[in-house]
Amino acid sequence: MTNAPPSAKTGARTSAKTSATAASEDLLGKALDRTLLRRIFSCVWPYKRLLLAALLLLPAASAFELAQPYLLKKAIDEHISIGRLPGLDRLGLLYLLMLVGQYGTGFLHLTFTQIAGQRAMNDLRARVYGHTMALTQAFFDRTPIGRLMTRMTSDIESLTEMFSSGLVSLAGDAIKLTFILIAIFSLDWRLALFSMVSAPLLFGVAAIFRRIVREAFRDIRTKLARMNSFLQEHLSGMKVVQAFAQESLVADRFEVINRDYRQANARAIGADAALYSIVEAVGSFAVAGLLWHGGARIHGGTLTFGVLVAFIEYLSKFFAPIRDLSTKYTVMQQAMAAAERVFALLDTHEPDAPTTTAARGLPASSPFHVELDHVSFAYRADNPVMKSVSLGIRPGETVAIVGSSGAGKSTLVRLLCRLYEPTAGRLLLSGRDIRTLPPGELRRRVVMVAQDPFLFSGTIASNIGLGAQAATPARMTDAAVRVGAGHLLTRNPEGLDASVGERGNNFSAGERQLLSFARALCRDPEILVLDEATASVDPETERLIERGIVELMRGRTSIVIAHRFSTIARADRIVVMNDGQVAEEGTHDQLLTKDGVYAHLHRLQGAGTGANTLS
Amino acid sequence: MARMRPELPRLAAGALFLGITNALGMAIPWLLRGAIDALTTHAAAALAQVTRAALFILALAAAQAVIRTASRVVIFNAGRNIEYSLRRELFNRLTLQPPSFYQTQTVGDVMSRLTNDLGAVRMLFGPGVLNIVNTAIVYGTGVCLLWSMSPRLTTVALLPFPLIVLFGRLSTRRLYRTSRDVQDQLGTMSTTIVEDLAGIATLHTYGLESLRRERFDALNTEYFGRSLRLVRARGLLMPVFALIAGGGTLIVLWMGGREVIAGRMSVGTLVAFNAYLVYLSWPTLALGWVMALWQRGIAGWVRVREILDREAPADRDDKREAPGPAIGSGALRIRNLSVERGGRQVLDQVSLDIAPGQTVAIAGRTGSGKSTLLDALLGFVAVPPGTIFIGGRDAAQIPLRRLRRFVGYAPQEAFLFSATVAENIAFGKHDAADHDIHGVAAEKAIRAAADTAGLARDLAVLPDGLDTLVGERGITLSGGQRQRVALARALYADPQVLILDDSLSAVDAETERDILARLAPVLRARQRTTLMVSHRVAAVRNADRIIVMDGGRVAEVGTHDQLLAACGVYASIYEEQGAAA
Repeated sequence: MTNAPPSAKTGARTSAKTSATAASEDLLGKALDRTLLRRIFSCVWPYKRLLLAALLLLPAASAFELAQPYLLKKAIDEHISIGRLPGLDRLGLLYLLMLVGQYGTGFLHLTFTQIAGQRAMNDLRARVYGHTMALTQAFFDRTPIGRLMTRMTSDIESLTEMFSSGLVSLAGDAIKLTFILIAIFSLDWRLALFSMVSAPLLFGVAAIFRRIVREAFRDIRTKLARMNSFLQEHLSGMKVVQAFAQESLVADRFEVINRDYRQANARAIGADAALYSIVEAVGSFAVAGLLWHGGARIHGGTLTFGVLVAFIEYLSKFFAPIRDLSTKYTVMQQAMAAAERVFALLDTHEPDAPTTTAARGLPASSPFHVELDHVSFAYRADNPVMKSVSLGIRPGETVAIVGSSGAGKSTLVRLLCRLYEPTAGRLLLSGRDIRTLPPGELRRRVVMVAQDPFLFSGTIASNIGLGAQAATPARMTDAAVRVGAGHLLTRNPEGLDASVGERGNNFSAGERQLLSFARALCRDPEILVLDEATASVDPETERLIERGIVELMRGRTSIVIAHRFSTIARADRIVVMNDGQVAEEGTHDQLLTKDGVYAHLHRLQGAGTGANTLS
Repeated sequence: MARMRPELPRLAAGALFLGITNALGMAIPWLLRGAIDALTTHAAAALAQVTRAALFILALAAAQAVIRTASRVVIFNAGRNIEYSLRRELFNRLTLQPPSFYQTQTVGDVMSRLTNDLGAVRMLFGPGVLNIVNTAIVYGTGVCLLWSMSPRLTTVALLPFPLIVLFGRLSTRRLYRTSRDVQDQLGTMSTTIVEDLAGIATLHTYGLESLRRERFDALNTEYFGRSLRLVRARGLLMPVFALIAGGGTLIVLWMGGREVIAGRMSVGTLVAFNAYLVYLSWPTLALGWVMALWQRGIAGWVRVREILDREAPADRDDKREAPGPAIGSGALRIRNLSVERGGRQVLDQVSLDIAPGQTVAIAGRTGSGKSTLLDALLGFVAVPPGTIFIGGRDAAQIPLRRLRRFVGYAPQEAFLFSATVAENIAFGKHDAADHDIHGVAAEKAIRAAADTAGLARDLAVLPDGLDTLVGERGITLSGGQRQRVALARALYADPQVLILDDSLSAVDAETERDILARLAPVLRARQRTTLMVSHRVAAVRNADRIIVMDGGRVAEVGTHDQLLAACGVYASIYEEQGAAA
């Protein structure tokens, strides 16, 4: 963020981070990495027939193309130079056929590869999306959204680009170059040797070019990633930038990043331009050599004009693909770098809520007993937030969990929904370890209502129903009315179909809360886990929310991280958490009598009249 | 296209280099022709001429390499420069957009414009311009040279070329439409991905992965379909152009052959003629590619323009950054302020006077106009002249940036950047010197702001204290912690007027009380005017004055005790909260 010299502490971390980035970018240099190529091909494998057809067309296209100079040679030597007109028409017709054949097969080839490529990348994108969505919460905690989005859009675009103008045409070029070498050496091997005399120069040039470009690309990729995450973040936080009138500060910071990116590109441009020009020059050198040696032999009568002309044609066809190699190399490099990152994401095996044994479902409707058995958890190894917590919750019981912030309350409920996995101990539902429940079962039975509910863009219906098949309009309306969100349906003529903006930005925090209650109620889970919002809203909404909570908990086993006294008072039991452990539990009265942590919190609360929350 | 003007000299130089490169290249077939014609005479001097021609070609090729490199470097860099300055302009324009813009535009789509679409525009100006200029030069000179050798053969050989123009024109519209469709869909997909990732916890707890996946698959399939349409639109261009160009060679072979046999043309001329046609064929082949590039570039440019052409209400700064009189004290005066939003009267004839150094709380139900009032003071809502006066100056006349340096802000929805806590707190400070946040004095001041905002205990627990990285790439702070960092940020900027928009709503009541208790003396000592919105009576009761808003109007004004005695809206809110406790 800042350009100021970092303190020793941040300095150390920054350098550690840069070296980590460098290591991960280190592999980006390879344009043709065999393992990566194999994996890319495994994506295209389902479309192997298309691809095979495309590949089979390649030699045909080359043959059609390379027959043309030969026909030219025949025309010159057998007709034009010796003045024999009959037969020239036939050669002309043959030439036309070759042209049509060349571009006809070329067109089919390109269409086949592109369709195969697009299909494969379409599959890959769906796979990456599906894989990502099934990763655990901890992964999202440390991975910026912008980066994941890049994997699914630009990176896969780079791979698609490779299919339209990279990989397969490289194979085509290889075939073509081989054919040309065969053609010219069989026409006249001495002349062929002479015209190829400067070709080794190309290898040297290409080697130097590769080295420069590899470094340049690594640089470009890093700078581009930096630019994208800067943009993503500052677009999201634009109101803060504006409120502090820091537009110019932020613009200055962006200026540096933007300029760096341009700078990084300049190097690649130079290398690319030089390669292109040198290959062109080598092509002309070859023509000069051809003329010099061939001229002498024509003069001596050991060579015909036709062969010379055919050679000139062959050579121009020989150098064109080499000249465009830099463009293809660029495409390949970008594709490889992209593939590497995409596959790295696919290789991330941190599945969300994995099941250990062949899982058997819970009985359709039994009263669920919830039990925590010596559960420990740490987000970071050195900082445990839950220390061997054991707790039993009876069917139908309402348990309020209280404690100061950082006591481990939220962690407890997140573990119960398996957003995170405990580092030790186990959680049991009806005596069954929740890790052995079939996928989806746990979350059908247990619904968590978060403190800061997330609404998706769409309609009120799509947010309340959230894909539950049983969610009929009547049921959704009923759920909304019961939790006190009915006015959100009636204030708008569209009712349930009223639109919801990105992240529900057209609803207030309290309204979002109410809608999330309706969503939970519509789901009708056996166990409700509620992380009660601390955020204060206006008293009227507050009352609505309170009523909503009551409605939501009715007839369910409920675990509530409670901040409101009304909620706490209604609970069957209060569990007080402190420093990752259960400090005390009991009813309100019992705990007051005990005169411990809870009583202390309560006294504090009583001192502040009007404040309606307790944490 | 005024934005391209700075790059015009560069582009012109590039075009010149390109012209020279081509002139040198075109000389090669000419030399070839002379050498071959000499050889056909079987003269003794022929060999010397051939050697001379070969050496000339070597020299030309070397010179060509140098100049060609220069032309490509210059033109491609011009393209990058245009991309760079457009991106800068876009970003600057985006910083000026009002909050309403960000409510209607998704970040994903704007990102797509800043990256993918801008990339397409750059391709238009780099390789696109290069190829178009190249094609024009090669065609111009090539046709002249061909004409000088044989007007008749030239006419016939170039006969199919108008077909290229015709076919190109026919494809243009389709190319543009399909390109635009593909790019729009990419924007939509980006938006969906961002949303799904942001809401991943909800998706998981509700087991919605497969449902969202179906939705994504539908978008993805649509994208595939659109891409395929583009492939089809593009696919025919190249082969058709190539076929037409190849037809030229066929005509040379067939007709030129007859000419030579009839003795109207030399073999050397025929070879040179063919070489020129080959020279012409490359730009012809590239034409299809360039056209696709061009259409993609235009489609991208249109999407970029949609942002560039947006009126920026905040632009009033640039016109009036003239050093007007300084804003005096933190006195606020509001006179008959009415604001309409979406056809609804959200503020209705609000008048208010706040003396410098006062702390005023604003209470009221959701939708009573509190936030709009604060937005108006911050310049996020345009207000008519003569309605808001800050420090005695009409707020509508104060450049926005100056206004916002004067008025500090801690919002309810606190946004933190991926930076350290210290950097986040220091974000609002304006003196360049203060951006050195690692100085002893600066660190002390940051810590002081953090302490006042009640962060001391949190900082002690964070792994690196003030230097802990937070935000997207760092530690995720809780809602309450984020709000307190945002408060510290507002305090560290030390504005004359401080606006707290329910900025401690996610902080528990006890901590809130502590923070307010620490805050009051600091604000009083510095004579800072404070406006705070809160739903908690406990938070507002100690304010110098409480303003109660209802239905866009000021319903009641007074101290806590006065308002209780008045038995109005405030008293009823107080009762409700008391009942809840």
